[in-house]
Amino acid sequence: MISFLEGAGELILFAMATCRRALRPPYEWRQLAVNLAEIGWRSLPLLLASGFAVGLVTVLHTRSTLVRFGAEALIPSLQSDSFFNELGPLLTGLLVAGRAGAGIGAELANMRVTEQIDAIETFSIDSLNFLVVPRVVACMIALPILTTFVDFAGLVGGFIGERFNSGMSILLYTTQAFQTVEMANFIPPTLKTIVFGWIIGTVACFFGYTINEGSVGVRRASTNSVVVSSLLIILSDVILVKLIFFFYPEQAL
Amino acid sequence: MSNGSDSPMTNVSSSSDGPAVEFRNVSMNFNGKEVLRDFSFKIEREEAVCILGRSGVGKSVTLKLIVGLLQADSGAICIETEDITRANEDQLSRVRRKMGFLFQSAALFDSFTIFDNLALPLRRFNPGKREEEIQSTVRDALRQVGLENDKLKMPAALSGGMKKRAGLARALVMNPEILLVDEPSSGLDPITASEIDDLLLKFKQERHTTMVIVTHDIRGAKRVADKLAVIDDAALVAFGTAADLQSSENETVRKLLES
Repeated sequence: MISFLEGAGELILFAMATCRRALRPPYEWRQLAVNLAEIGWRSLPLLLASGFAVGLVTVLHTRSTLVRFGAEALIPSLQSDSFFNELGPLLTGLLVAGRAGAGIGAELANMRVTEQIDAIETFSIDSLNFLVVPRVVACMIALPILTTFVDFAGLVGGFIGERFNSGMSILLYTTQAFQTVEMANFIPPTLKTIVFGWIIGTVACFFGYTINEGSVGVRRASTNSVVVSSLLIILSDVILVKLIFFFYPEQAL
Repeated sequence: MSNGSDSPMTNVSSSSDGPAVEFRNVSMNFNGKEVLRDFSFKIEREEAVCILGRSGVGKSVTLKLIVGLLQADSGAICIETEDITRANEDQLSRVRRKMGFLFQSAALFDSFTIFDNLALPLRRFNPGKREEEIQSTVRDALRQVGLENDKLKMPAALSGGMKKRAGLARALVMNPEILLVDEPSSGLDPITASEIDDLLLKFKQERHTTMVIVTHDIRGAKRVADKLAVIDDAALVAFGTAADLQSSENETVRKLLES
């Protein structure tokens, strides 16, 4: 219990130090661009495929139930509601935690083991500023963008499923899907992934930056990054959904 | 290197500008283990000193204390008369600009090409420097270590010896006053290790850089260093020229010299 609290305290201090550094120049634009490409662009195929597959499967599962009640016309709007509000953001958060979080943790832990972080410090370069801040900020920028792609991939998957089952036209599907979508359905849930990005970046960088135990440490950093950031994403999602309901009460109805 | 204590082997060479590196009664514990105990010595400017000793006696820790990557528990460490023991980041940053560090694993940045590895400190410390000047400086540094045709390679594509040479070029690209070298021959075959020693010798003669080299290779140490220092049981047990150390009665020193 004490070591857990110690670890949590260290993580909070690390997060605070990172936030302070993020506001202080020099700003590592080049590192930010490199990490945006790695975390954002290179995660896109996995996220598009996952969003499409989940969208397709969701339609296949919900269809039989809705048909029983004669409510199959609701499938497109159900699909858009579930993806824009919850499935898209959460799926994106967990997948990026798995892909990029593990990568960041392993990369930084390896840099620690091979003294690359020490080498950066010997150049009088603030390693937090150079290595951690760009990764955290890249996660925060990439997540909302990736979420939007996952949302639409899910809708495409849903359309394909519905097309094969009922022959619904794309015009009818999109009309019905976006009939109930308002800005409040899309903007707040998408923006909440900025918090997911902050969690993924901070947690992964924390484990990678602080663990220094050879190849075992690299593995531990990678695993801990995924487990802890996934857990924190799920927990923070509950709080963020409550917050969205507080500011947009109509969403809770 | 001269011991700050009153040892009969003390060899304090005077310099009008003071020593390049000075440890005054430095003690340090690492994970509960005493690594350095009341450690005192001076390294004069333009002097090349090799630090020898068994594995785990604190040789690399000494280098990291000099560059401020670790902090001593007590005592004072001065770089060209500036005490860095309790220095803040700005002071450390100023002192570090005088130093180059060749790490044991070379510590090249995996995600950068060799060119970018060398260009990083140049770009950082000389924001007004034109890209052509940076390219020219990097090219010159790589030419000196025989890697001018490998500048666009990634570190993973280099052999162990090439990585060490690239690391040495990076350590020297800022033209440091003090060069710190951690195990230059580790993991290398004797021929490649000798080539690295040749390069260190060349830079010592051409640039008159102060060098602090941690090594297990006694033959290389005798070639490159003006003086040798031996650490054992958390203390400096001997230092001086190779000839001075021949007369040492310390068992560790004798074993090292015979190896």
